[in-house]
Amino acid sequence: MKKVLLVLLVLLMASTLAFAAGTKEAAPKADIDLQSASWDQIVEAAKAEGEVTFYAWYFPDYFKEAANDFEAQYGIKVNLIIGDQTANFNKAISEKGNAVGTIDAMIVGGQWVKTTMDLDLFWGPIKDIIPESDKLAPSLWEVQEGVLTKGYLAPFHRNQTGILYDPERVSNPPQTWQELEAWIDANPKKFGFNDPSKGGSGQSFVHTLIKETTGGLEKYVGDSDVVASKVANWDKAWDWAYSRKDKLTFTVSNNDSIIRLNDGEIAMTFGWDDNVKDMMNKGNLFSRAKMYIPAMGAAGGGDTMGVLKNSPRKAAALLFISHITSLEQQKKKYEMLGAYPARTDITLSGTLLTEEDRAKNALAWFPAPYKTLMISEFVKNVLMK
Amino acid sequence: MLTAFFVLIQLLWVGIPILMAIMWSLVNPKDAWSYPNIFPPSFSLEQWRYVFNYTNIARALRTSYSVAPLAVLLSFLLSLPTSYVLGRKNIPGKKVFMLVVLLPMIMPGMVVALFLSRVFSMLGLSQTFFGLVIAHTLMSMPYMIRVMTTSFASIPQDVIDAAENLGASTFVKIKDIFLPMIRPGLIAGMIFAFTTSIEEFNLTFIIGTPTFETIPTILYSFMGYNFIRTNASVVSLLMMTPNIIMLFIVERFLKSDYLSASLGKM
Amino acid sequence: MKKKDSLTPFTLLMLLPGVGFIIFFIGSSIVLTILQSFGLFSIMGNSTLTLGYWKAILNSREALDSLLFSLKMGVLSSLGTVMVAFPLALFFRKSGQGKGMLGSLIKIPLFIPALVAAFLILNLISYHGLINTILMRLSIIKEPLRMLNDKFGWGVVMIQVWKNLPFVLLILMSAISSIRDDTIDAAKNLGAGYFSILFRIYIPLAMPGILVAMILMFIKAFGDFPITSVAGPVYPSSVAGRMQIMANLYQEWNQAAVLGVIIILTTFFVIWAYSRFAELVQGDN
Repeated sequence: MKKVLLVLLVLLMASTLAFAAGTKEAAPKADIDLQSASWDQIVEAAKAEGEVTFYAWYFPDYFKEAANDFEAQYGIKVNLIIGDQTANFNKAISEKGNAVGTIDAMIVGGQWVKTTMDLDLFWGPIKDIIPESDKLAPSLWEVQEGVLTKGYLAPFHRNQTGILYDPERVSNPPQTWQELEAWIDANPKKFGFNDPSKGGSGQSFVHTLIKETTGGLEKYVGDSDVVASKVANWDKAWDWAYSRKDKLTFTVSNNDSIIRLNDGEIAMTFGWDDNVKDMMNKGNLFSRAKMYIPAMGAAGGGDTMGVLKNSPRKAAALLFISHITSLEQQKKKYEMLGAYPARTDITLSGTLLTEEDRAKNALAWFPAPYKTLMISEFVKNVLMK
Repeated sequence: MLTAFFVLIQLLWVGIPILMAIMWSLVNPKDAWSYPNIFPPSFSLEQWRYVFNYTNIARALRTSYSVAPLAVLLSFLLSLPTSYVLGRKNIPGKKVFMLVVLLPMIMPGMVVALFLSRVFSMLGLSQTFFGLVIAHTLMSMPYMIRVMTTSFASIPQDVIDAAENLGASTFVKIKDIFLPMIRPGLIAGMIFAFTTSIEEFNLTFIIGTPTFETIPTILYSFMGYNFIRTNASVVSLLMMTPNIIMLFIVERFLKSDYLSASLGKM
Repeated sequence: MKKKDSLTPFTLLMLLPGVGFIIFFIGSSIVLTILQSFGLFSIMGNSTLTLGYWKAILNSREALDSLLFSLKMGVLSSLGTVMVAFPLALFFRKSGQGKGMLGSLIKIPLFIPALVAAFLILNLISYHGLINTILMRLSIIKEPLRMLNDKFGWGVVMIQVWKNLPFVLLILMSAISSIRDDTIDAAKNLGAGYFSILFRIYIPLAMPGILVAMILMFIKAFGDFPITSVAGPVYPSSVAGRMQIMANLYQEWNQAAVLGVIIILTTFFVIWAYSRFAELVQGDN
C-alpha cells in the first residue's frame, strides 16, 4: 500500500511541477514603441509581422469578408476564428500567464468586459493610436456595460435593447411602465425575458424594472462600489416581479427569447437589435417583427475590440482594428447585416430602431457593481423562490 | 414481429429529430419558418452555402477525422495493460486506481481545459497536432479503461488455466484468448473513444485554435451563446452524416462476430 | 475471499501507461483546484489560506439547489437508461433477422453530440413543437404543454436517455454476452421461471457491466453542462453551470473551485454507493 501511495505522489508532483514551472517572462516587445510611433511606422511594422489572429463569436460572414479585404489591401494574413463567447474568453484567460499568447485581438462584450478588464488582459490604451478614433462612439471608448474601459477597447458596433414584438398579436405596444404592466396582466405568459444571469436583453429589462420601481438611475452614476443605502428599496422591484411570476415567461438566453417569439409562445420580449436583425436575416424570425425603444427607456451599449497584452503581433492587431473601424468597413458591415456601426459619421436608413428613439430613450447602464448585484438579487428573490 | 416493431419505433425516435434538423437547414433566409407553419414556407440551399463560404468547415472535418482514429488507437494501446491489471489482478489500491482513471470525465470540461492548457503549453504540445491527439486520448481513456477492465474481469479463469495447462505461451494467450474474449468491450470502448474525440470541445478550443479547427469549434459558434438554429442544423448534419455512414459500414463488417461473440460457445 | 496480488514492478509498469498518463496530466488540475478552493493560487486577488470560500458555498442556497438538481439528473438518467437498455440488451442476445439494422439505428444518437441532441429534441418539445402540435390536433390537450425548461428537469432526463441509450446498451450487451448459454439452459432445466432467471442469473452475472454503465452514465449526467443549459429549468442551474456562473459572471474563481471539489467528492460518493449496491446484488450469488 505504501508503494502505491509513493508512486501516486511522485506522479502528482511531476505533473504539478510541470504546471507550476510556468515562469513569467516579459511580454514580447515590438521593435518600435507603439505608443509613440507614427501610424505609418505601425503599418510598416504590421506588414513585417505578416499575420494577425482575430477572435469573435458572431457575424462569420462579415468578418470573413473583412479579413479578405484586409489581406488584399495589406498583404497580411488573417487567422480568423469564430468561436463561442465563453470559450473565447476562457482561452484568453488561460493564456494570461503565457509570455506569448495565440490571440492578437478579439471582440469584447457582455459580462466579459468586467472580467477581462479586472484581469488586465489588454494592452493599451489604444484610443490615441487608432486613426479617426474620435469618429467612433465616444461614450463607448470610456464606459462599456458599466465598466470603465479607459480607451483600451475600440468600439466595433453599437447595439441597443428594446421591446421586440409580433404586431399581429400586439396592437398597442406599451411605452410606459404602467402600460407594460397592464399588458402583462392582461396577457399572462405572453411577455418573456431571459434569466439576467444568461444574457443582456434580460438584464436590460431588469435594469428598466429597477429604474421604474425604485426611483430612477441617476443616483448610481459615478459609484465605483455598491452603496448599500441606494439599493435598500430594491425589494420593491423584486416584489413586482415575484408577484407576477405566473404571468411572466423566463427564457434561457438572448436567442431563446427570440426563438420563442418566432415559435408563438410569447408575443413580446426584450431583445438586442443586432441579434434580432441577424436572426431575421437568416430566416430564424418572421420579418413582420417590430422593435422599438419604449419611452421608459432601455439600456444600450456595444461591443469593442482589444489587443491582448501578450500578443506577439501588436502592430498587426492595431492595423486590423483600424481596418474594422474604418469608414468603408463600418458601412459594409451595416449594409451586410443591418448592425448599427460604431462610427458616428455614417447616415443610415432602414435600421430596426429609429435615430430619434436612440437619442431620446436609450439608457446608459448603471455601474457594473450594481449590475452584478442586480443579477444575483434577481435570481435570489424572484427565480429561486 | 417484435423486431419490425422496434425498427419502426427506432426510425421514428431517431428519424424525426433528424428530419427536423434537415428542414431547419433548408430554411430560406428570406422566408422565416415560424409558427404556425408545420414546414418551412420555402426551401433554399442558402444556409448550406453560408456555412461552406464563411466557415472553415472542410478543414475542420479533415482535422476532426484525422485526430479521432489516432486518439482511439493511442487510448487503446495505453489502456490495454492497465485494464488487464485492474481486471484480473487484485492489487492493493485497486479501488483507488479505478476512481482515479475516471477523473478526466468528472471534472467539468471548461475548468479542466483551463488548467490542462497550461500543462500542455509547458510541454510544448499547444498548437500541435500531436497535442490534440494527446488531449483527445486523455478524455477517452476513462471509458476505454473502465469498459475493458470489465471485459477482462469477465473472462472465466478456467479457460486461461486450460490454455496454460496445454502450454500456451503468453503471446498465444493474448492472441487467442484475451483479445477475442474482450472484443465486445473493446469495440464498445473504441466507439466511445471515437465519439468522445469527435465531440471534444473545451480543451481542443484552447490548445488547438487558431492553428486547428475541429467540427465542435465550428458547431459551438452557432450553438453556444449565439444560437442560430438554421446554421447549427447544417453543421450538425455535416457532422452526423459521416458518423452515421461509418456506423453502418462498421456494423456490416462486424455483424457476424459482434453479436454472437463468445455467446457461451466455449 | 479473493487472494490479494502484490504490487510487483511489472504490475506497476503495466499500470503506468494508463493510470500514470492520466495522473500526469490531470493531477495538477486536481491539486490546483483543491488549493484554489482554500484561497491559494488565486487567479484574481490575493492568495491567502482561508476557509471563507468553503463557508460561502456551504451557506449558499443556490449552490445547494444546483447540487441537488444535478444529483437528481444523474441518478434519474443512470437508472432510466439502464432500465430501458437492459431489456433491449437481452433482446439482442440472440441474433435474428433485421437485428443488425435495428442495432445500427439504435446506435445513431451515440454519434450525435450532446448539444446537437438537445437542440434536435428541443424542436419536438417546444411550445409549438411537433409533440404539442400532434396532441392539439388530436384534441387531447387544449393548451400546448410547456415541456421545455420544465422546473423538474424531465426535458433534460429525456434528452439524456435519447442520446445515451446506445451508450448504455453497448456496455450491457458486452456484459450479457459473457453469460454462457449453458448456465441459462441448466437453470431452465431445473425448472426456473423467466423472472427467476432474470433476477437470479442475468442481473447478478451482468452486474459488473451494469455497474460500469450506471457509473459512467451518472458522471455524464451529473456533470452535464450543454444539455441542461438548453433544456433545463431557468432555476436552478446544473452544478457545472453554477460553477461557470460563479467564475465568469461573479468572478468568484475560488468559490468555483470549491464547487469543483464538491463535484469530485459527490461523484466519488455516488460511485461508492452504486458499488455497494452492486456488491449486495452480486453477493447472494
